[in-house]
Amino acid sequence: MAEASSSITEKFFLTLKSSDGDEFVLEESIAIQSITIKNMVEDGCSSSVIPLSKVDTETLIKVIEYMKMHSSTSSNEEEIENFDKKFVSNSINTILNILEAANFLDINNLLELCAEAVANRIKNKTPEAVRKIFNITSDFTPEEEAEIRNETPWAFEGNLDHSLD
Amino acid sequence: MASSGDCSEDDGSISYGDYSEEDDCRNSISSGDYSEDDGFSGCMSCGDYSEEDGFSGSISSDDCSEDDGSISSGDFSEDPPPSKKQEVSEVEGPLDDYISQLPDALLVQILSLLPTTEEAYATCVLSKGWQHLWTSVYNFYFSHFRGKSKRFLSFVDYVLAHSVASKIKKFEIHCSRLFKYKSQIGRWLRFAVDKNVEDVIIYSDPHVCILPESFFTCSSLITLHLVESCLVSDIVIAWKSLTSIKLEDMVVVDAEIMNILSGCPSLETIVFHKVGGFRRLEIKSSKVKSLALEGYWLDEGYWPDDDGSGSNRSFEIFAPYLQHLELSQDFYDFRCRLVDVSSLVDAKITFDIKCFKEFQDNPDQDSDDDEEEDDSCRDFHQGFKTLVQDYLQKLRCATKLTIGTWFTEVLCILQFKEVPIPDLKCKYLELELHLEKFNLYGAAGLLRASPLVETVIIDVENQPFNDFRCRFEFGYLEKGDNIDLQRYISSFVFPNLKKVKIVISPGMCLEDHLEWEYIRKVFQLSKFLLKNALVLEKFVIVSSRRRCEICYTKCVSRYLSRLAKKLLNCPRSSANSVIIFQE
Repeated sequence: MAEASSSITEKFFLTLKSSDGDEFVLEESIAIQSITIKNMVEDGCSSSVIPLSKVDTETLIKVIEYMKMHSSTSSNEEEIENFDKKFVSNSINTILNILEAANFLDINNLLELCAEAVANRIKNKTPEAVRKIFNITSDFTPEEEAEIRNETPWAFEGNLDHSLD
Repeated sequence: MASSGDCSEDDGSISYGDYSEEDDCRNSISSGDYSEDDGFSGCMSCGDYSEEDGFSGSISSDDCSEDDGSISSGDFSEDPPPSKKQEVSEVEGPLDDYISQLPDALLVQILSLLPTTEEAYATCVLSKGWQHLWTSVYNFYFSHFRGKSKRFLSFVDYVLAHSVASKIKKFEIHCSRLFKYKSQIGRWLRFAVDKNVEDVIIYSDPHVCILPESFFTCSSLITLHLVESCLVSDIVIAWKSLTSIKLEDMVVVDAEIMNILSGCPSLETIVFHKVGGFRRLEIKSSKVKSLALEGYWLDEGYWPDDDGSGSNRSFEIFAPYLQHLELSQDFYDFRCRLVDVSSLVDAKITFDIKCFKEFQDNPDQDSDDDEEEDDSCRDFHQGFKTLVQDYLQKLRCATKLTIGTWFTEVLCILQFKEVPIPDLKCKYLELELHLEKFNLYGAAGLLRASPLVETVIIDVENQPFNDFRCRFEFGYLEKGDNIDLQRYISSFVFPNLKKVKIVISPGMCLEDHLEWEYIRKVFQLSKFLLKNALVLEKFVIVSSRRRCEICYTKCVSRYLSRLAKKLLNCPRSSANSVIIFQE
């Protein structure tokens, strides 16, 4: 460790293992955007493979893509902005998976990006449309739902959008 | 420990007795349980949550001792929500309800990002798992913009009475014309203060201060944005953490500003958007780095000692530690004098002042009076010149400058009067020029006064403008627009200028400006830069590829391609320069 730290330019690499068993080698400086990984590295767990039992391969690929873009010193603000815009256009289920992974890995700006993306799918929508978009099944009886709606009519009077876009 | 803190906060200053008259506050009890049980930990799913505490009605009175047993939690206990697991297994469809399986903390974060609290609240009908999630949101946005006030008021009451958030991040409320309900609104704001709110936006009423006393000593407040509100000067302000304040569309007098500044030791940024009434902005704190005055509010009632000559209509800025200053938009006929801004690094001076005669009741009097009229505003215009000369001195050391149309007009007249223009030290110069109104000679004069400049941005805009021009100065301005720059500004070079960029403000239609006359001034200015920039690398003309939304043609692109074509044939000092037409 001593001789390694003497060289400033030397790169360290980590191996991340997805829940599907696939392994990804990533520069440490990029991977430690995840506070969870950073803590593991600091605790000395970085020599072996880091198992990420809660992140599947497809999601991990996306997360790594994001971390690479956001750590690279060569990408400018505009590139990052365009990347983020494209990133959130992934399918809603992919976004939800990434959101959960970002929560587990503790990557705050990725978490915020995905939470915002999900909120954007909910906003201005009627509850009926939100249910369809996210495949939520209501377990209220019509009477129960009517009762809730009647209690605070204000909240349900706005011009909300019925479409699913 | 934290959760008991939450409860006692709830007990504190807000009396829920008021709420329970209209809405029974059963939920505030179960909420107490809820916040204690998972308290934002995020490790439980909705299902777990409803399973565990299930709103069964067996409320532990230890948690919230002030809530007496008479409050019924019946509605919630009638039908205990099934657990998430059951819910999912019931759905046999091809798609899973992924979102409801997220930890509560994440769902609460998502709900807190919705633009309005109504929307966050409305998710309570999605399914039983979602029914109470909204009670944990930590950002609030209430607006009574649509619909009836009464319903709005009871909705806000309902939401806040049921809120179990241990902390409020953002609280935005639009309650203009609701000053009758001052005490109710005051209660909401006290609730936010008790929950250590950080960011507050309030739209209220210019004549009644609806802010409760405790709001003025809210130590958790970080940013504050008040619109159409009114302050009081004799109240003690203690916003210890406040770093940014924005006041908009309101009158603020000197005493109130002093009161704010003395109560905000951490303040860094001040924005006044159409604020008026003050005469002196004295910012002695070395922490305040940035000040923006976006327009000046014109309210005649606040200028009782005005003698009608316009000479009295001014205010001054004393801010020796300020680094960023913006004076923009419409200042009417008010002059802003810079007393001390000796630490400025960058400044944006794009405001517009008009001749005071424009505001007189009858500006278009018979032509017989012309001469007399000219005389009546002579001193006023003299004031413009003194002002700009002073600005040039005060802005000398700034390295980044953004200068607007009015400034170029006055500069034009100063040059014809052969007033020497001091050299500026700026390296980055942006000119925000009105396509028709900017003065060519004035703009070129500013460039000439910036020998160190490395980057020049010319941002052309074409907002509709009032065509009133005081005849007093019109002659000079016309002459300045038709001037032969090469003759007037000869033997001059830019030794450091590397990059020039011309942009047209977005959303602008140029269909009526495709004639050469409208392109000519921008062309002359560009030619001047090409001719005299010795080490120029790039001359970029940025055009939008999109069709204009107003004329449905590519008017901006046509305008700029004409300009670019013409510039290709112009002489250049720098052999290495390229003209780039960027779409």
